[in-house]
Amino acid sequence: MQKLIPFRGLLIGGGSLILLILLSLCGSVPVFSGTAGSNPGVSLLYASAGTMPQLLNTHQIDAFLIWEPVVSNAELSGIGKRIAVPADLPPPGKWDNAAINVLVLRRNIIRDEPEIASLLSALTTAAIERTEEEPALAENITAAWVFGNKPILTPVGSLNPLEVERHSFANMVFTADATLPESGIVQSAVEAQKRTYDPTAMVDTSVAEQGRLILNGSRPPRPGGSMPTIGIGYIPSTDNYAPLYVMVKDAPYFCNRYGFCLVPDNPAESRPVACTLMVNGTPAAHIRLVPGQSGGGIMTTIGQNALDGAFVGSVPAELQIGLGNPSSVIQSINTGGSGLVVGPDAPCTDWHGFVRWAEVRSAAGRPLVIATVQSSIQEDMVREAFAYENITVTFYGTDITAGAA
Amino acid sequence: MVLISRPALRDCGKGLFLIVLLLAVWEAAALVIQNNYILPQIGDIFAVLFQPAAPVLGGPSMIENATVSLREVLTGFGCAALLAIPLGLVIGSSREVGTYLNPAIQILRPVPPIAWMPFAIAWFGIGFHSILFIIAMGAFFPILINTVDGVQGVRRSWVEVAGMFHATTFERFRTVILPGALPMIWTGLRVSFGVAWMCVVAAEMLPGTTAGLGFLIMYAYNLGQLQVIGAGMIVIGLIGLFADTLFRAGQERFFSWQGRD
Amino acid sequence: MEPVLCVRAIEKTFSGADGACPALAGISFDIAPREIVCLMGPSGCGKSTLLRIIAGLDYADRGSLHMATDNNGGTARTAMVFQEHALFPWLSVYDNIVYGLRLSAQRVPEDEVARRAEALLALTRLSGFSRSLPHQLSGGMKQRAAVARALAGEPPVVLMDEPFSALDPFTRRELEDEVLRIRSDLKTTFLIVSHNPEEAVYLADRIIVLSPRPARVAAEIPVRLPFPRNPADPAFLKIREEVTRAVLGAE
Repeated sequence: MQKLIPFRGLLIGGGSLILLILLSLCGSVPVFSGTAGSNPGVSLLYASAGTMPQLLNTHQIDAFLIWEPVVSNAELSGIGKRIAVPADLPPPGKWDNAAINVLVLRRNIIRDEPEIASLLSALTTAAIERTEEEPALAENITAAWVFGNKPILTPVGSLNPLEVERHSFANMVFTADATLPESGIVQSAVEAQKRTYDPTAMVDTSVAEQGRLILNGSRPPRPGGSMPTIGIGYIPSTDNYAPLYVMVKDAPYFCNRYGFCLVPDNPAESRPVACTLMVNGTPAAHIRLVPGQSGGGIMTTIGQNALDGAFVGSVPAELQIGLGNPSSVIQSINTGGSGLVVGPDAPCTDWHGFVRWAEVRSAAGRPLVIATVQSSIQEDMVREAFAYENITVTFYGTDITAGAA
Repeated sequence: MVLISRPALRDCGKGLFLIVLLLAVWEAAALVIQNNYILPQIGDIFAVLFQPAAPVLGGPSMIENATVSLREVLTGFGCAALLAIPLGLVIGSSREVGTYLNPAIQILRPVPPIAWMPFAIAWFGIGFHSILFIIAMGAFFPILINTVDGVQGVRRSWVEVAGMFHATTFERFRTVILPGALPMIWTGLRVSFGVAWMCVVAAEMLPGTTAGLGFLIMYAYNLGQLQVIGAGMIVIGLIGLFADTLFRAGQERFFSWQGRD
Repeated sequence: MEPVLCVRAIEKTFSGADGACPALAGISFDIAPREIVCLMGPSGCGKSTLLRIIAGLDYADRGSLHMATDNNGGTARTAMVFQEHALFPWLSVYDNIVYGLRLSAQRVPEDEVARRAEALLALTRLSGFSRSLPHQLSGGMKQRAAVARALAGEPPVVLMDEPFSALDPFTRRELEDEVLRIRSDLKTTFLIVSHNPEEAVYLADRIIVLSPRPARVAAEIPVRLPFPRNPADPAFLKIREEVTRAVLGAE
């Protein structure tokens, strides 16, 4: 035997490493366990919106619930079919007038710049009306903002973004008057931190009221002249913020009609960041439109004073305000605007068929895998709908029950 | 085996002093700012750390998260080592093979592992194996490069001694090339373990992840719970420190001869 | 007596970027058993190349080498001591010394390995250091270990390439005495490349001086002084001067 000093240790170390890897590779994935009931079950997988069509197309998931235009994109490219919109999901009536996205401002901005806050609310409401009245215009603007007007590549060819937007807009309702939904996710997270959960307390109605007064001409806007710079976050990959895109890209309309508007500093930019809030031809505030990756991330940035407000999903907003983010919800932006999508060969065409399919697959030992964005209103919809149908939701790859949301 | 000598312990104390000072400055600033979104209080961070078995933000506990990440890192790191060391030995021994492989390696090497994410999901599916792929991608190249350097740095005279005693090709490899290259391979492993730890945070952003320190940090970010992020960072740092200490102890133990003859 | 090593008409040409460069132009000599021969010559004349060819680390273009068969009738092997000891730094002194014995080419049984190692450790006064790593030894001890490693295979000729040139003068003298002692104990034959006339005269029975490139044997100077030799002895000094002149003359 050749005796080489580092060799013995090396052999032992290398050997145990290989053993560890083999064990690790062969071992099943769950590492910790919760309790699974005897009810039929589905598996909930967290993913980002953009990856969902790919996951469905490669048969790694059976369905996803996500916002537009991902739903229309998947449908038109043949990746999947939409079998339900939020209004179809139980409990009955729960999502009919539920705010999916909202305008949020940090409370010190509301206090220190009340008139700017009111003008932002007024403009948002005006833009919502404009988007509802002129869908063709809004579709064009949104196609340019979200897709850059470039053809969208799909597994089977390419799609015209305008076509996608037309399809998407048929599934969206923009309204400033929806109410903040009660969210099971938020409730459990907030109560786990020994705080009380009350969605109505998260809304500051005074700003929207002042905004309405300005909008219907009851009183003229009176900006303070301090020219604050206000950062507003949003996710640039969703159609749900179409009113924001219309507000900026169709600024002359708002200037002419209301006397105040949000003008991009460089109108040629496809997704303007630097904008100026104009009141009767005079600059009143610098507004920066800052794209973000996730609603939660944008809310955290607001808490860090790096942004001052956002167009953001209602659940991320509620979650963080419930946990202490010093912001308030000003008003809603839209209802609906999401869809439950399954593969083209799935044996169902509506929610009831989907539930039956889930029961069959659960009985066969291969529970359906459904993807949503973590801590989104879509996750809340999935969990509440299945709880209503007495189907247990577990987190993908584990046997932890998601609990009755 | 004694890992830390007395003078090392004294140096440790000096290092600890700065850490305590930084913590004190942090805490003072946190008390002034009073905003968990900007500077969470040390007490809140330690409250998370001191209950390692309690669920964090309604999810897995800190121990469970650390276990998941550690398993991913060790497996990805191990896979990378199993591939990179033999390949590095071959490239280092044969100029011909190197000529074929080097351009591809040099092009792939600077690509951040996380850029592979969309492909990883399509090729390896959701979950563990995609994460492994990302981590292994990051850990692979430091091991490979160091192994190649190690083989090429083996002294000519050592190889000639083997030739003088008529060693077979395999014996020359086993008794000279491999042990001679081992210190560099070890250095490669040490560097790549650090890289693997950095990759795990990015890799746990992949779909289907429900636990892990990287997942915890992203989740806490979405919830604005910066004290949890701070606790996660400390755990990652401590595990990294522990691993590096082990690697250095191994270096002292096995390769004390390196560069001294 | 039959020579242990016959070097016959060795030729070697290096092909470099600027054409062929002849290094050795027909070198011939014999070495008798138990003889210590020093190889000298101007620097760059090809002494080391010749030694490497004899050691089997390089190839000659033309010419032949004949070596006496060993006791068992197998092919005899030379062993070389390098200028920088070239010990394996990761192996203990013991494992370094027996390195060659454990390879499949020799496959010496382990008890025989241990017996030879003990003897060599004693011979080179390293018995207390068998478990030490090379970097824990002084320069002289390292070179003694390298000599022990070369002797382990009981080669008919031990080749040394400027073995003591990196050592200080006192250690060097110590090791030169060591070589003489080994020769008288083990009846070993040495072929030593040296650039130091005093060392050559102190050790050698015969000094072969090579000419500059392409190298030929320029002179063979026998040293017929009794051992131990005294470098202050006028006879010693005379031969040393003769050697120096021969090397310079060759240049």
